[in-house]
Amino acid sequence: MTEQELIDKLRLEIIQQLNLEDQKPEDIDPDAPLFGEGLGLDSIDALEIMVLLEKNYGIKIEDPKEGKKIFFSLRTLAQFILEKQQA
Amino acid sequence: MTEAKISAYCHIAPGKVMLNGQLVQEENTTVFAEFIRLVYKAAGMSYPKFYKMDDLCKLALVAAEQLLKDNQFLERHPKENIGLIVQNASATYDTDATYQASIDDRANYFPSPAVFVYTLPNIMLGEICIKHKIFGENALLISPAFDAAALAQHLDLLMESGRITACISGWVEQKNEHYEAFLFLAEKTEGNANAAEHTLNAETLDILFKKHV
Repeated sequence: MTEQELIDKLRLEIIQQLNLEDQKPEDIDPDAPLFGEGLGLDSIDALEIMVLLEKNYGIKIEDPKEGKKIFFSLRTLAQFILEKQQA
Repeated sequence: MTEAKISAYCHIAPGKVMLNGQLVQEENTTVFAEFIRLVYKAAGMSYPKFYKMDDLCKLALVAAEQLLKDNQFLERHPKENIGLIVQNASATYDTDATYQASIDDRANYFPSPAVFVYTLPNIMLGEICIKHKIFGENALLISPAFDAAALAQHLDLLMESGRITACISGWVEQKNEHYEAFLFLAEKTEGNANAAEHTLNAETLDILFKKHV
């Protein structure tokens, strides 16, 4: 799967998992911050994304400090998943 | 006993919304997920967090919105003097069941934090407080049925103590596909009760609660 394909998949999964009903997949800028100013996600959403990673990709984030960097945007999240899958 | 009035009240029952005894919205569907979305949109709300809430919170939030959207209630009272006292019978039964289902299977164990945070019924009060920046006393009282006498007494004690001068109060119940909300705005009158409005007492609450049944 390419980075772009994974970003498109993640857009759908995040909308579904986080109940972002007003959000269209194409409106989620892959480089915009997921938290705060961008998509406006909160700490509970961060936990939900961690569950999503484990459930859909079998990836556990062992070091919570990594979270800030991994969850910065949709692209950083996709890159993290691809790295883990290739490792 | 403190003199207080009921300045507005609202009922939400399957398929319909009533404000001050008048039907303001009626939909063909009574299915909660469809109906509550229609009520949310008709109220002109734009609050993305709504979609993340459990059904009980959605019901409470849109019921409060009906009362507050064209009303100066929030401007008439300091936000720290506005209380939120609500009764309910089933607490968060549906959300509890949803959460339990997510942890039943140890081989497929993915508890959802977003579901878990709604497994306390008083969260619906918190959601209303967050949206409207209300800081007063709040309590969720579990009761098998709407208990007008207990509610009137509770509000009277709070107003008498000076801890609140106004309150959003009532009954918000949701379990399976049964849902009903009866919320009202109570305001201390300092002896200036408007004869056209309802005096806050158990008898009045009982009459208003039964108006939609």
